[in-house]
Amino acid sequence: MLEVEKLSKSFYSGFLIRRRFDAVKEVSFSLSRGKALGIVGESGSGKSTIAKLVARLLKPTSGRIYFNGTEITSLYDKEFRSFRPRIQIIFQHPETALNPRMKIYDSIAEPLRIHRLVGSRREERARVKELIREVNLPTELLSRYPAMCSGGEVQRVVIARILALEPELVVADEPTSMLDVSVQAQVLSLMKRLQRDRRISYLFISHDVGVVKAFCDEVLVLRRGEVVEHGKSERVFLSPSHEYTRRLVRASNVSCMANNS
Amino acid sequence: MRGNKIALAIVSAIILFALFPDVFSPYDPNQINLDRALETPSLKHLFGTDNFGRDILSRVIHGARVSFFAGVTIAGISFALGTLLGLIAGYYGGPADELVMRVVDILLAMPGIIIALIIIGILGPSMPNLVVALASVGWVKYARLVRGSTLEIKEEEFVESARALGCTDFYILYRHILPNVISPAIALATLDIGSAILHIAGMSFLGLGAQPPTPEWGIMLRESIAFMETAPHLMIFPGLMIFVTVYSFNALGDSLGSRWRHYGTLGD
Amino acid sequence: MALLEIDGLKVEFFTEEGVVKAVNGVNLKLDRGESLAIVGESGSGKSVLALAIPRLLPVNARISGRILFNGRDVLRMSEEELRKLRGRKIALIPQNPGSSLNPVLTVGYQLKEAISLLNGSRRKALKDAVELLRRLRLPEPERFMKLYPHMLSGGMKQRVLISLGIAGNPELIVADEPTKNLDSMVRAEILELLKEIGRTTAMLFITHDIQAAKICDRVAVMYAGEVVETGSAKEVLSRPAHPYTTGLVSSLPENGLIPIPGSSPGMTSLPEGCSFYPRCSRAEESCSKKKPELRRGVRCFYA
Repeated sequence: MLEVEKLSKSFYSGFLIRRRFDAVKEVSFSLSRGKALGIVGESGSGKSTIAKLVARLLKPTSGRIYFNGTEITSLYDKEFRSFRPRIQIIFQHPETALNPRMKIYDSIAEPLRIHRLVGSRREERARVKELIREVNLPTELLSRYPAMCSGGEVQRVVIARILALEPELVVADEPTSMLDVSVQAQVLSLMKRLQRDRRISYLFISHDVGVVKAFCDEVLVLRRGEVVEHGKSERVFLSPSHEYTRRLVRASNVSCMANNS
Repeated sequence: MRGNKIALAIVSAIILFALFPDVFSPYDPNQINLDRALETPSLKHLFGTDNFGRDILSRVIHGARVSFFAGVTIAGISFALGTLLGLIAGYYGGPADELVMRVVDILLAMPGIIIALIIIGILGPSMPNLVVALASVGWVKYARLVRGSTLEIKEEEFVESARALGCTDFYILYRHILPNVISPAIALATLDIGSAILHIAGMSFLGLGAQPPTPEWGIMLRESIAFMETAPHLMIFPGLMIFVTVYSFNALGDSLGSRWRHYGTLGD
Repeated sequence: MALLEIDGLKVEFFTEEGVVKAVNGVNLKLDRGESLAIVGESGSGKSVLALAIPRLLPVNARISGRILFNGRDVLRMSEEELRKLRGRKIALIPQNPGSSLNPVLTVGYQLKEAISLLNGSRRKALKDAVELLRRLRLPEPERFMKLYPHMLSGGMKQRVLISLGIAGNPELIVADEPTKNLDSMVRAEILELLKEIGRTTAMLFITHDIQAAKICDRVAVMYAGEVVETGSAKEVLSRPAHPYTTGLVSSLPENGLIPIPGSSPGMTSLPEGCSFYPRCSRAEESCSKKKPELRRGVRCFYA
């Protein structure tokens, strides 16, 4: 469903002397319908950049992205519009994920309105209620503002908005890194359920090895913009072949190790 | 906080005077009555009369209309123009931003009054021309302010989410960016009204704005100079009105600014 | 005598929405050199508890109960006595390293300032600061001192905060979510560091991540302002007794990411009876009527 071929992204900075920073270097991978692919790496590894490239919030310096067989990288923005609903993104920070001046109801209704998916106010209200129930949140939340909601609630509202467009691919950029461990479990189990029921594919980006191991079928290990290892999560994490992967796995196990004093 | 109630009361009074001057004025402001000229304040004429026998209280009240509407118009145009340009410059960056900022820098490098004088010189002295002149310089501070806030907000995740959802640039600017950058601009506009009123009085004093026989505070001040020693009340009341009005708008603008100080940025 | 003894602590905030009972009757004891992890979700009251100890809560907080530090009640001390306590005897390592460091002063300056304030000697301050940074395994300490906070990564900033905390050789360190927002690699390093510090200094380690609690000797699990389970870290994590603790352990990624249904109660509307009742799988009708007491380390009728 998603094919990424030698994707690269460089950032240029500097006034008199142009400096180049290669965030992503010729990364390739593919993702099938209904599967979850994880991208692990430290901060600065380029994983967030890949997320934005796939969600077309950034344009690649080189490389190609294919979606359901169509090459989307060379499309003009206008041509891409029809693909927009099918590729969506969830971000990391619940505090800034929603417009603070808009009520939850309006935030969820927004995608319905701009893509004209509902005809009347009544239809809209019904659909919004349906969506918020699907993410296990009470309808009372609809009249609140984001500031009055907890992190876990906000992330679920974000999921509800995305569901309005019935996406096929959801890019999740560290969606639970800012959440408590118990809330993380709620959000992730919701995402898992949606993956099963709606055959949604996830590009799941995280620095947390444990989470990626539990959530994703396949994983890509990213280091300074390059893929150092790729394979089924079980295999990669239980018997890593690359030294860097070993280090990552060890670090996550340290936090799991029993107190040996 | 109590001071603000007074400021609010005064501003409300000014607005009432501006909207219904005839209701509050005991006399026709332009009614000449030479045998009652230069009378000191009395029960019949609370603020006294001027050299033409016109009731000063009525003239001052009508002056509120002139000053208030002109002041609001100037602040309003500056606010609208500046906010719009600031949004565009901040959001699109690149050549649009360069252009707007160069103009801003140029205008800020010259004293606004001089530019206003030049414009009046070209267009001729009258109230409408004065409004145009002052608005042409006034928009700059809004553009700067709004551009700064826009630059911050446009990087926020909810804006990127909106783009990912498929919102058009115009929609994003209108629905997502504008509401989150506008509060400090509104506070500035309230302050600006006071400052505009002051400029209007000043320029009219110089003869470059409102023209006689319009009852405008600046003109009244100018006409009162000849009688400064013999009939000071001609000078005192318009002067007092300017002071009190401008002060009240400033106080109101300040309190709005501090109450809304969190709204320009996100988070708490 | 225990180093720290918290007796019937209650903290309430009076807000527009009503009275928020952030901490609703907590009893804890901490001995010298012991480390205790306080585990709970956001809203469980753990941060409020942490801030209450050096009395750093905002003015609209109503505190009752006793916080005995070396036998003396912190809540009844004067400002002068508190000043001598803070930084020297009780050190707080706050959340958010980003906003806790002054962005216009170098790391070295801030460290030296803290050291000379706490130890009284300005001359030794430089040497002590470098030594501190070395202890925290920061590379090239002399060069590091000249850096500004914005040049540092999250992990480095956190380490600077920790060094500021231990600069005064405190008897008690209160670490408030020191590993939030950090990468897993960096998190592991910081946890190692804290474990080492916890071996010699008494530490109160506040976290939402029950995994991280493993670095401490003991664990206290908080829910809705109360302690619902206490015990040794090994015990609580391998054989949790309270349904909430069991839920927390099951929600870990390696245990299957099994969520606890429902959400934490809003702090203004605490239910009668057991506060965990609405989300508990082992609950009976009677749980909603009466509040269970803390018995043998567990606050549950059915543990």
